[in-house]
Amino acid sequence: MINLLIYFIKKDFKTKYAGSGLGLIWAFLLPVFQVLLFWFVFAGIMKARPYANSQMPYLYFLLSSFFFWLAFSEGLSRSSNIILENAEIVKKVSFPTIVLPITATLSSYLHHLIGFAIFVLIYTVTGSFSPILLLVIPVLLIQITFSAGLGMIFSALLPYIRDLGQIMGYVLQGIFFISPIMYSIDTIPERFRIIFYFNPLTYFAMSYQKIILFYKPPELYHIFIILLLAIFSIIAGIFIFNKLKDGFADVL
Amino acid sequence: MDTAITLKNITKIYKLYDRPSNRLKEVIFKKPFHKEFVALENISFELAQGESFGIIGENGAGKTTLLKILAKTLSPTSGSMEINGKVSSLLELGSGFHPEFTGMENIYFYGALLGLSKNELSKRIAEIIEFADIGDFINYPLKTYSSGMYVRLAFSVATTIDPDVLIVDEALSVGDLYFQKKSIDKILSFKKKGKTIVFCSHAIYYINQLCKTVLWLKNGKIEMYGPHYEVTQAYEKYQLEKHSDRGEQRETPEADSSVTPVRIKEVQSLPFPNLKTGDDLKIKIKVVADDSSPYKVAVILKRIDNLDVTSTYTSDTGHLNGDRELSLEFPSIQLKAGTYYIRAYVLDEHMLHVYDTRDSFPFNIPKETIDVGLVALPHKWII
Repeated sequence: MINLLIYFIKKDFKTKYAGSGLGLIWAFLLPVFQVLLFWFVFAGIMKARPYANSQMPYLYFLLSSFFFWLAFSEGLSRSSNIILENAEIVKKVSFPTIVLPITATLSSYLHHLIGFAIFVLIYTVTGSFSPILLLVIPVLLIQITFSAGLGMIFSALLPYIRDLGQIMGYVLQGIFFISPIMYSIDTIPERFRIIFYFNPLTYFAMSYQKIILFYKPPELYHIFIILLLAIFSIIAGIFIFNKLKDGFADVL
Repeated sequence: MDTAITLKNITKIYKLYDRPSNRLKEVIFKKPFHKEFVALENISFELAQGESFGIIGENGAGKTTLLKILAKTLSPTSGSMEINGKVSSLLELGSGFHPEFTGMENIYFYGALLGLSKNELSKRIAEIIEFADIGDFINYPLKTYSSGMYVRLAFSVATTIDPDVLIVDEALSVGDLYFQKKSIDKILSFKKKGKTIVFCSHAIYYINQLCKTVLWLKNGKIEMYGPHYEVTQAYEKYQLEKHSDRGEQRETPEADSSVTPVRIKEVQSLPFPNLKTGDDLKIKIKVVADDSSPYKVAVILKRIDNLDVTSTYTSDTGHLNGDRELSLEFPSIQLKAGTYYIRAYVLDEHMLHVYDTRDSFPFNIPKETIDVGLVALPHKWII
């Protein structure tokens, strides 16, 4: 199965850039364009400052959690469609179909990790390196597990409820706006904060920001929450996927 | 002997929804919002390891559904299935292939999909490439392939992974004549190696050649299950009767005496329904005609697949008139095993206009020896 997964990820990377002139460079160019846009709007026009009493450049703040968001959002939207996209082989070849959502998730993360690595490089060259930064890795692993679980659930649901595909993009956009990624949790009025505490991504974003921007380990209870979420999501994902996969050939 | 495949009460019901949203409604309201179509009903059988098994039936009888369930790409609504060993299917060849990748990359990808490790594949890669016989194209993207090369590659990968159970669906018509021969040989070599083969085809000839036991599916149910010749002959007979039933309905108005002055009332062959090579075959034809219409009678002896074996007509007897009961005899008929029938015609005196035609019921010459063919010709061996 691992073998199959590697092949699928390879295939995914190849098909993504097969026939496009710039190839893998797109993986970096597109997010950079998005980042520049946010930077221009928030830092340039609105003069946003992420934290009231610090001189933290907005760009650093944005970048500290933005790539993780991109990977999360792309992973989820790609996994939801992955069974439909591969309807031909799902219907005609007998293989563990669960590798499909896992492939979509992992390949999205791999993809955006390239951008993140470049950011870290620039960041540590202009600033300083601390071993605390390595804490990003366990948080990232927890996030990938969380993503993979959600990906399985939605990939299995979509063939049955196709309308879900129509709203996924908007839901993800909504989640982006209520996650402390473009702005910090400090700038949110007290009465709205409750919304944020119900958003799982808040805990991920805050953990990354703490590690990368302040060189401090994340809050222990944040880690506890995301770990629980990840475990719950992956168990539910495997359970729901296995429950629904038998009907794929009928509904596709 | 060990069993390779055990099927118990396999039933497949397709739910037909008028609208996709009804599927959702059903989940929410817990009430059925669909019509049901039973594709397979209570299919049970057991296959020993190394047995070759044929599935026949008309279009829509459930053959493909059954094959898909065996290939595990479709799950049954109820019932249980157990397959021992690795299964490879030649249903819809090449569905896992990607056109942008080279043949080589596709072999590895498809192999992984079928559950082979890279090591296992590397060992067999030479064999796969050699069998597919596509030359340098192996290093070019699949989109540059002809459709023949495409299926050849797919066939090669699917058969080279050395499955324990091979599921074949009409795949014998793959590629050119040369490759067809190669693929049949390959399937036969599986048989020799003691692998289990499930084979589905419309070509009764192949079924008889390849399979020991045959399952006849009719409207999703087992109509007959048993040794190959018994089942295939019954199936051929059924098909012919069905066709002649249809034919009668179509021809009834035409055969009305007010329109057609000459009609065939009955065509009978004796002995019936079975005879042996060397028996005397007698054919009785009853003709009803009014006295003013001279006619001639022609007879074609046909094999069930409509091959004309021989024909004869009343040439020397001059014209016939009025109601007649004719007899035709083939003494010591030298036909070999198979199912045949007689088609009789009544024609005008110039043999141009067909007044009426009618088929006899099919009759069998049961298979008793291993030889094949249509007729026994006089011959001798010089050794």
